[in-house]
Amino acid sequence: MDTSSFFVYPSDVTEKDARAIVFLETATDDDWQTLLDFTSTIRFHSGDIVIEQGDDDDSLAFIANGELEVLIAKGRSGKFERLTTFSEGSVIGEQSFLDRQPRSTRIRAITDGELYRLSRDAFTVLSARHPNLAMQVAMDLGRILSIRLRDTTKFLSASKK
Amino acid sequence: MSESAKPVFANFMQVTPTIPRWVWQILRLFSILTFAFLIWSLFNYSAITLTIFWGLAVPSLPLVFWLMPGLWRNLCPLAATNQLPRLFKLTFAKEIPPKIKRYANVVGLLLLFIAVPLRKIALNENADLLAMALLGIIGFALIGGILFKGKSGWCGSICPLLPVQRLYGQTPLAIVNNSHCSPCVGCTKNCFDFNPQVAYLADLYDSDPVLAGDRKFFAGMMPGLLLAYFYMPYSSEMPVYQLYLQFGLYCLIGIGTYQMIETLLKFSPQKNTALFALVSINIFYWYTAEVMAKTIALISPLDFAWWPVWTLRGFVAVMSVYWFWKTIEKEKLFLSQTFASSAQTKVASMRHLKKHAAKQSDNPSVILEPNGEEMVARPEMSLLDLLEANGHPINSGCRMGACGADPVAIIEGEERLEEKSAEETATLERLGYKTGVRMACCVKAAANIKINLDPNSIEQEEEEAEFEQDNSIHSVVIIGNGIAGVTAADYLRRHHKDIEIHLIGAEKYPLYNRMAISKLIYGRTALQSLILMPDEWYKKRNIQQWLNTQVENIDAIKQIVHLATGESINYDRLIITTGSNARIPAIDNWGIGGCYVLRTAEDGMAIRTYVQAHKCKRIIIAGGGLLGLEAAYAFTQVGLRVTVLERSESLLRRQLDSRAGGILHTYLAALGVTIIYQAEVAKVIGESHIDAVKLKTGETLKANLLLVAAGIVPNSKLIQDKNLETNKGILVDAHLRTSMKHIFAAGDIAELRENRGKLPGLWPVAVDQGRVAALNALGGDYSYHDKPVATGLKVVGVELTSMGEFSGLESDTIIAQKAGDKYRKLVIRDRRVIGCILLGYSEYSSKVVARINSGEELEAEQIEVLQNGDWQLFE
Repeated sequence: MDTSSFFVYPSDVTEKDARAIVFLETATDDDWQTLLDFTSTIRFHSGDIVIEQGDDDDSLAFIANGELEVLIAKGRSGKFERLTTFSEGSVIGEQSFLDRQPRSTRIRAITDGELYRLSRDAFTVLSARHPNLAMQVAMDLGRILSIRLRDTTKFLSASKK
Repeated sequence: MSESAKPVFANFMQVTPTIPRWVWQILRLFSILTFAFLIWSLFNYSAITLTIFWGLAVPSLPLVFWLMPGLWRNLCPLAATNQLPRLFKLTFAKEIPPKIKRYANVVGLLLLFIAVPLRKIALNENADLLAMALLGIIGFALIGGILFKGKSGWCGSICPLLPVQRLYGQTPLAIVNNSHCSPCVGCTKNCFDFNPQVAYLADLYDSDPVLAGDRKFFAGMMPGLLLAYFYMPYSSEMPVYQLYLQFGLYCLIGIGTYQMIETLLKFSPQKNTALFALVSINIFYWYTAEVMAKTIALISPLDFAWWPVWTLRGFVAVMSVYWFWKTIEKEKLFLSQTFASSAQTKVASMRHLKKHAAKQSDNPSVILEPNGEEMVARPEMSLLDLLEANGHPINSGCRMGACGADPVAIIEGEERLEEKSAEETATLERLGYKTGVRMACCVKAAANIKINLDPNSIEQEEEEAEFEQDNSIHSVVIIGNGIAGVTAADYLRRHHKDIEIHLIGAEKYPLYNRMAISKLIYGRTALQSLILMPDEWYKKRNIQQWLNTQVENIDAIKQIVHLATGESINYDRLIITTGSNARIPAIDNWGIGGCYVLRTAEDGMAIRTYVQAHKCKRIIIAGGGLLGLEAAYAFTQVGLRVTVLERSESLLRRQLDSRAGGILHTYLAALGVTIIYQAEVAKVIGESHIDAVKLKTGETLKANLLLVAAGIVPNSKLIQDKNLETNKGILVDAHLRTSMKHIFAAGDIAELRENRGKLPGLWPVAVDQGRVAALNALGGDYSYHDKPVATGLKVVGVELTSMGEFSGLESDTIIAQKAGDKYRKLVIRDRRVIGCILLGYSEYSSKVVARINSGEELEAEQIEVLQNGDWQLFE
């Protein structure tokens, strides 16, 4: 399993991006423009809770700029501590987007920034108006989840050894 | 910039050090001096030095490793020496060859394995040899520091005590920050100094199994190594090889036990290694507690006693259980972080996002209080669109400002918004809002504003009644608590402070947003989100609500309403607003399980229940009107296969012409809705539950649920009253007065004499009529005349406004323009716009509607410009 998130040494700055899964790599400029036209824009401010754990919100978001942190309640005090951070270019919230389950973590803005939300309703309209693009989006989200699942399976089978 | 949260497992660079680095440097100088002193006294005062070194110093080290490993990592004289070349910039700072790196832990482990038995053979007694060994080791540490970068030459690789420190120190009680590495050069994988809390776990879970192997092997051998040292009998006659073999055997037993536990009990490596650490530390202090106590007795005037020995043993035992629990507990968090951080999803290039950002950098923004969310709007969007696009819970109904479902408070910037239309003003007035509140659907978010979804967050001035009230009226009864009835009740109270108002509703719920009941099929909030006024609203206005109450009959002569409960209420004025029911065409076998209409909230919830209980897959909707299509969309939202049967040849015949109908058809088909034209249900097939429907053409379609949406008929119950003149509904004059002087009717049930046979069945009409009927009931003189009403289809992605005469006559000027999947049409008669269809052109909607309402004439040039496709006039 990849445990390098705990050891982000100052000497290897590029490592983080190298590990990312790329979303819609083959989409054209037009595709992107169409897709983004179906999103709604939120400007967040440092300290804002952008996603709250337990909320019903089935949207996916692209971070255009700014930095956010994923928080988890730790121990009995329930104090929130940071699990990881997201920065510009990150795609977040795809799980709730796909399964419509409540949000699993809290995400808070560290800096000011902007993100684009693609709600399920907007996706429904996208799929009626631009079925090919919508299929690309859906397939790609499926691919990303599949990669995650593979990682998990690999991890589980490894930890059984 | 606000402070961000502390990372779950903060590394040393993310923590502000409490002790400055220079203090540590001084302490380290003392540490090296102490070491030098130790060597010196080993040569000069060997006996006492040996006693203190082995009897006190070495036995206390594991406690430090265990509770505060960072303290030793900072102070260890070997580490200090190893880091000297780096401090004075005398190091080659080479990368350790990967081979050596891979075996570094093995080297450290072997060194420890050689050293421990060597204590028995020589080091415990031979001070010279011990001094030489220590000097040799510090020499190696120094050479390591000269050659290799960071701490990779000794401390982070081959130091024989590192495996011990990592095992015991994996869950420090107190974290003492690394003060050596400034800057960190990233020399060691899963570095213990970098992130002491997770270094061990990271090794166990590393994708390179060698690291986990090292940890598990060492954890397994540790109890054996300790038992071999403390428990195994030894005499100086024993050959050296035999001693080492016996030590080896003990270690192997430990390793074997580790394997056994892993295999038999399936402990995770994390739990198993922690268990072995717990056992090891207890073994160690079981024996050394006594050694330490004896050493103290030897070098001080104190006598040996057992109680300190047991205290230490007890302390270690209790602490180790706590430590074990802490260690096990953090694994879950560790895994959460690992999965959260591994392989984030990113876009390939920021170009598209940046371009999108630039495109809307000047767009107005709407800040939603109380949480301050800032939404960026497109100027043509209504506030309602914006809120919906961002997933905020807001009611919506007519989307034209008539129904009153979506009032929002404008906290800041109200003056920057467009003026209210007459319709919006009337609605706000009806709702009792004067300033600071707008209907979200009527406001274009074209300026920076601050809003709150709770309209009551803006305080309203109390209304002072300035009218004469007719004190001969004491009681007004309203039958029907739909929008007409509630509006009437509201206006009654506004214009009469003292009358009793009885609002009798057959349904179980107070007024809800009937225009949105299809949401009950797919929404998760059930009726909650549709209720339009809270209970306080009725209380404050002193309106007596009778829910779930049927009216048996009306005694129009004695002016009494008899309820089915046996009670009766006297009235001075009666307003009938009983509304309408769903029209059910003649269908054979109608009424078995799975046959539904959608008229009330009860219907919507029953449908949702039935769909779940019977695991429905195929839905057939009879009727391609507004309600039928909204329901069709609702069913697709819960993943069902929907077929719409339309009697005519195109959709929404009361709202669209065939071109617009075609566009809508394409869109709905893409959403997955099947539409069959010229199709009517003849028969429902099934015993107790529906299996299929048979069409009039003879075709059979499988179905688990049939929803009939074939329009409405006025609620017939009171129509049969012999005193009331009726046709389809209850006939009323322009004052909405029925044939009985004191009885009025409003809403779907009211049929205007001047417009016989027409029953619009629309929410805005009901609102208007409710008001007029109430005012006239109190002696006013208001009249109501039919006028065109704008309607829309509430399906996501369809922006439709249809109003008035959208077909037109041959003599009319008709402007109809289609562009892709958008369509706009105006019907102009005598220079006045009398009807429109706007599909995908929501930006014109409010102005066109206002123009139709006002009847204002268009200039000849204006018509020409519109014909040429320039519709700026309506933007």
